[in-house]
Amino acid sequence: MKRLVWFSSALVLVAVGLSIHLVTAGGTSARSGRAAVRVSRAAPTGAIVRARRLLGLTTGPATLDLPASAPLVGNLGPAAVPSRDGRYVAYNTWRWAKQIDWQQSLGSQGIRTGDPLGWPALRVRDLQTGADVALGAGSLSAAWRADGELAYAQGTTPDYLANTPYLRDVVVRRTPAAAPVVWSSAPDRYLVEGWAGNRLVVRRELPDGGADLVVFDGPRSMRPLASGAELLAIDPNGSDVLVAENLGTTPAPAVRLIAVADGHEEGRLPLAGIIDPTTKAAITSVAGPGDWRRDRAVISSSSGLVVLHVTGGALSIEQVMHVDSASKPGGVFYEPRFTDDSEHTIVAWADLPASSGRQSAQFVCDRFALSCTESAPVASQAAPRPVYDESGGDQ
Amino acid sequence: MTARIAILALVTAFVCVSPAQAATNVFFAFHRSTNTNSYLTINREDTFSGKILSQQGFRAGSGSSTNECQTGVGWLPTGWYDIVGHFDNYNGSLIKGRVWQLSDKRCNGGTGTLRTQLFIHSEETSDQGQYCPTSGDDPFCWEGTSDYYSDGCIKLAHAQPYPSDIAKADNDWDAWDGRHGYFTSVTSVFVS
Repeated sequence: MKRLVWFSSALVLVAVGLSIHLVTAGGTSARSGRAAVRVSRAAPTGAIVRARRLLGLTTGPATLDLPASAPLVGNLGPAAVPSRDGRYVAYNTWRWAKQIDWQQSLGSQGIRTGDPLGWPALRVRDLQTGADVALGAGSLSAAWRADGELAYAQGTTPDYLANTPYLRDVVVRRTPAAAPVVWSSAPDRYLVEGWAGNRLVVRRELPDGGADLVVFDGPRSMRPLASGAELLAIDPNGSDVLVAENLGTTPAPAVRLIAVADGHEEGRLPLAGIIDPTTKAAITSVAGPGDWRRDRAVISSSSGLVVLHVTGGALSIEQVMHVDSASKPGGVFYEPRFTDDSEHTIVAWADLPASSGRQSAQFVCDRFALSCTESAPVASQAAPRPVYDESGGDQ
Repeated sequence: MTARIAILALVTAFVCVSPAQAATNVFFAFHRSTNTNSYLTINREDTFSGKILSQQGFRAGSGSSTNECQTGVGWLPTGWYDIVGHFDNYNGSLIKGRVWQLSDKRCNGGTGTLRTQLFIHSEETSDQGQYCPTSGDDPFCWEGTSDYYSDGCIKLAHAQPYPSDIAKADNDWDAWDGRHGYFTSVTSVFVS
């Protein structure tokens, strides 16, 4: 059976290889290849949050009341999330119960299972008035609907306890000042990923690791969307999502295009068919959150970046960019975003493998020129995070 | 009188603790190499001298990406962990059978994602058997090398020749430590 799987994968590989949009270089179109990296001293660009400093939004810089920090959300979503009208930014904060040396075990520092490890709390900054208010202790991960409704996860307790499941509800506020309405029927390990129109896409972690994606059609109305899958991006129209199934959950990992309305699969790209142009080998993993504009999405991969073309329910590979540092352990890109609607340039962050993860840098990649500019390194502890909302759809 | 009571208490405490428990310590060491071909050892050391008295090593896997900050995908972050529990018949939704649960760990030496729900486990049923109903990949059936991939945990093989690696590690644990359930005193795992 395994031979059959490999044979099928090989066929798919050939088919997908033929579907890659191979276009010539010359700065007017994108082609797959190895991106040259130029190290610069440039400051990070785009909308970012770095501790208390919020930069790059059209409303100008702002200083938040507390530093943005989201260790529980991690790479699964943004630390700070702007509302669609640009008036608000919801941002994650975190306060540790005590200083922890993470190279040492918790037990050796007197921390036992069940001891408070820290306290998450979302805050909402009104960029017009400067008001900066907490949504409640134990809240984390946020997404704004086009009409201004705000969804997030609300812990059943304010404390995150060491080595203990942190259960939370999915709640929605009509406005930041309105009372929260609980959408989940029971607390679980929820993380809000984004709105798809008026439906809410949520990650539900499983007790043993791994996660499913679920959809809330409204209060107390949850259904499965994709099991054993991670969100890559939400369609700007809110109709579809791109999800990843990686090798930890399936021997045939793939990118899947799924209709949010009914969960049916519209397209599938096996990773075996996404070939790194430098190594000539299939990529081994993909990760989100990525960015989806019009009919194009960018996601990070085990060797750099992949740009996908999505149209009419069909999914194809537009470009595979190999970046040397991203193919090394610990060097994968985080949260790649197109810098504008031309989708010409991609900005992403990565930890620098040579620093063993102690330093990070921003990479700005011109995907037509196949070149990236690496910013001056910053300590990972203080690395900026991009400010964005993964949500899509106008309703 | 007080001194006599103190000495008596000290002697009683010493007698009540078996020599093996008092003098030795069990820990795991996991050396990352690739997602499907890394190395895990279980070790029994002399508590006072640190000398390794017994050791057994196994091929082991971790994650499906070498980025330790990727929740659910990346391999285990480096550093020391506590083993907070050991179970012979764990019955989770994705993980079953013989497992060791590890403590939470923040990646990149404490600068990134807080990784949670971490285990050492295999692909087996809660009664330590194999459930292979299909000719494809079954979650509680060890089919081969690709099973070393995980959602970010450490995986040992449940493969012939028996005893399998997960069984050998469990046998060593039972012989050298023997605790089951959740622990109040911690045992360590070192990931490098």
